[in-house]
Amino acid sequence: MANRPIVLDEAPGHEHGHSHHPMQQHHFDTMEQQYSSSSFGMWVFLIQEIMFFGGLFVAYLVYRHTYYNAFGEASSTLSIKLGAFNTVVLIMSSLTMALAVNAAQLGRRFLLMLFLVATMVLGTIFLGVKVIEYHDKYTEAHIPGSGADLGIIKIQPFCFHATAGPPCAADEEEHSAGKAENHSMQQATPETAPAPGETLTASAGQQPGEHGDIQAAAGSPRERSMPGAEIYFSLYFAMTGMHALHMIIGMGLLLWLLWNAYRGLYTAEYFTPVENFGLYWHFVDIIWIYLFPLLYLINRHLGHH
Amino acid sequence: MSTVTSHIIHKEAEVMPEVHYLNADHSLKSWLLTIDHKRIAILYMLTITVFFFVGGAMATLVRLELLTPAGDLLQSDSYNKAFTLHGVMMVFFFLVPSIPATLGNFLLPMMLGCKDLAFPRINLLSWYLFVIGGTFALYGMITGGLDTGWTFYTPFSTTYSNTNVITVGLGIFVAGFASILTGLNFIVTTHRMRAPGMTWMRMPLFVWSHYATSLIMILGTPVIAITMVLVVLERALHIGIFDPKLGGDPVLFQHMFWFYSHPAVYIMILPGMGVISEVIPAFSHKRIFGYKAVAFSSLAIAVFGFLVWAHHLFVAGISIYAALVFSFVSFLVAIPSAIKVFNWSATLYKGSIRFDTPMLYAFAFLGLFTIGGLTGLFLAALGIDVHVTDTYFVVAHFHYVMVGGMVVAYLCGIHFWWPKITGRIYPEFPARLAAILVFVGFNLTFFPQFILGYLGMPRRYHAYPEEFQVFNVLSSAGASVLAVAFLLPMIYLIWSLKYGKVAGPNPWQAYGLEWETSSPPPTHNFEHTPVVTTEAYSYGPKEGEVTLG
Repeated sequence: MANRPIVLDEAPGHEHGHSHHPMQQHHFDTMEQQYSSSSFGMWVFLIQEIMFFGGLFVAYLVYRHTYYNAFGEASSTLSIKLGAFNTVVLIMSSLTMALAVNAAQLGRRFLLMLFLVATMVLGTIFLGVKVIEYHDKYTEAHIPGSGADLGIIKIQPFCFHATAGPPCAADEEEHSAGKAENHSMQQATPETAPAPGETLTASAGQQPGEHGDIQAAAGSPRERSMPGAEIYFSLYFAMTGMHALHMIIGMGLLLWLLWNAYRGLYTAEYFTPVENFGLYWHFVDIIWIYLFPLLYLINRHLGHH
Repeated sequence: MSTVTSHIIHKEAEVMPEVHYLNADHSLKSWLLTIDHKRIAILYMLTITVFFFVGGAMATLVRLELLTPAGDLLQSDSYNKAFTLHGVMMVFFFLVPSIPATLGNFLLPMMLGCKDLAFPRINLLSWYLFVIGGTFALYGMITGGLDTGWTFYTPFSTTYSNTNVITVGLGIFVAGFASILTGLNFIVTTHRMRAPGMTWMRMPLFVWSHYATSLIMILGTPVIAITMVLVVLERALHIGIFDPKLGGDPVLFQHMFWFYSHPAVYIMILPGMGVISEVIPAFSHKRIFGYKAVAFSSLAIAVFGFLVWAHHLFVAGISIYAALVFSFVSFLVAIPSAIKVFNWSATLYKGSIRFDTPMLYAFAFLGLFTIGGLTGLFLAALGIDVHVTDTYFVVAHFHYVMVGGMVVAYLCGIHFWWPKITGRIYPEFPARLAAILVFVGFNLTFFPQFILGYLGMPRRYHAYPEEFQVFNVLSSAGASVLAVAFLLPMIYLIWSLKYGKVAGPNPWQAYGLEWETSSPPPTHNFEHTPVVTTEAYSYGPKEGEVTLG
């Protein structure tokens, strides 16, 4: 042992036999170590989450650059009202979650449970509105890969033409009923609206040099489909779907927290799970804070110029 | 420099400790629900061994087919499935978890002087995720197979392939989270669980390399996860993300895939470098040369590794200016790798070197990894890369790094820490024989492939012109030697579990916290929390003041 320079001894401050907090796990020396490990682990997990969503955001970035106009057109089919409402709901839920963490830190069990329930209610409202939005997309046949050709779906007052064929309903309405009435979600003026029957690709084709007009080389504008729209909806469902999945997982975790809070597990000395879940919930909230402008707001004006 | 053969010193007969982590509880439940990092490491070891031999069996089929120029043993579609299964198993289910999930899991807490990883239950969860992912992949392979290659290139994988892309893709997705959780555990453990006195600059280089690996696991793996999700969604729901028919960009898939999969090749080599950094000082009985340089070069590899992915896309139609930048940065990665090789070599200088089995593997690693790394520079050069893209030159290059580097390092580490893991020593003669066979068989298998590739034989074909036959026969002959060399340890290591000599706490006279505790270690690793007072690798009488408390 003479050559062994490492001392096997008790760590300073670690006394055997002294009473541990009941929630302290065997492999931690102190509650502080356990708390800081858990908290640090949660942050590392969130970094991982950023990279996970990062892949989707990169795909969005690339395709928005490629199909600049199509993304604008397609985003104008989303309801700003519902999106904005959901944004407010989610920010409110972040507030109630922050209050829940505060209540846990103060060891106030009833308040903790109250705020956890409030967070769950707000989360449920968000998911409910999301269901309505998805259902709207379904009824409008804006489902990528559904077999319905997104090239001929109605995006009032426009209409895509995948193939040469009879004019679609929107065109007919344009001809008969005029333009402004059809702008259900939009505030376009007649001056900025295109000529009746004009197709999306036609307006895209008006900007030479833009990447979206790969198709502009062949055929007349009227006969061309607009592939960017399908990609937009694919990304819309992938991104909001992945976000909603995180919300659903969060709701399950909230139930678990609520049950533990009911059992009185969380005290002013031990509240790490509540705090870490708070970090997760805020993260999911922040993802939405990016999704809302990217999917609902940016370039929306392109839908009615 | 003494070059004596093995001299494991047994001053007195060693005895096995009465209670240790292996015999603390014998029930099956105590293994399947264990949260002991050492037992989880054993579970991982058994699992990846199964996957290794599945992948190996497929490699055997491939080499048998390539004995003759005509496609006689396998049809082209079954050949496609064979090399795909080989690649998927070896990359995702052997190489990525190989050293981190087994030796890393076992040793990291002991080297840092703590009782367990920071999140033991998450550690167990990661093993279950790995098993579920592996089962998915195997199931997909058995029920119809997969013919996309391990790279899943679109639009073939999303549109045209008639094989089980979805099942295997989901398997890789799930197994990816096993990798992420392991990385998370290692990072938090390294930051928060070090024993008193274990400063960052006293950590063994094995820990440093695992820290760098974990960074890649955290930052890279989620990207492949979401990419696999998009491929599966595209295939299942026919949405258009990568499909050119719908305006999607298949090259975007390649970017996203290699954004993970290039750093992932560093997941597959950095832990091996960590093993070599432990073994060379131990068997030279000398402090490692340039500790800080080796430690920080691991981080440098992890950082640069994220900036070079598009060198896989030189012929995919990316802009020539982007290609120039990626080519340049690819050259840069060679610098930290070379720093390591030079420092290991310098450590040998004037050391008292022993040629025990782990050291033989370490020497093999030095030579083979250097060849693999240098041919990587050929491929980083734009002109040569265009010439040899998708030829056997590339196959030989990455096998020199993955097998000559990582598999050799894995065997090296298994032999080095076998006494610690099992409490017994493997028989030295068959072990050395296996090490030499690995080296000979490996070179015979893969060196001819450099020549084949340079002469223009493309990879992934089951038939080839007759003038290539002589090199292919050499390669297949080498593969059979390699197969024997991989099967041999299976026999004598299992034999040693019962009949091997009892090792005692430190059979190699090696330095490090893991050698301070009994072999096999007790469930909580140490009787008391250790206090570290000296630098890592304080070999020799002068360095490392003796302070027994």
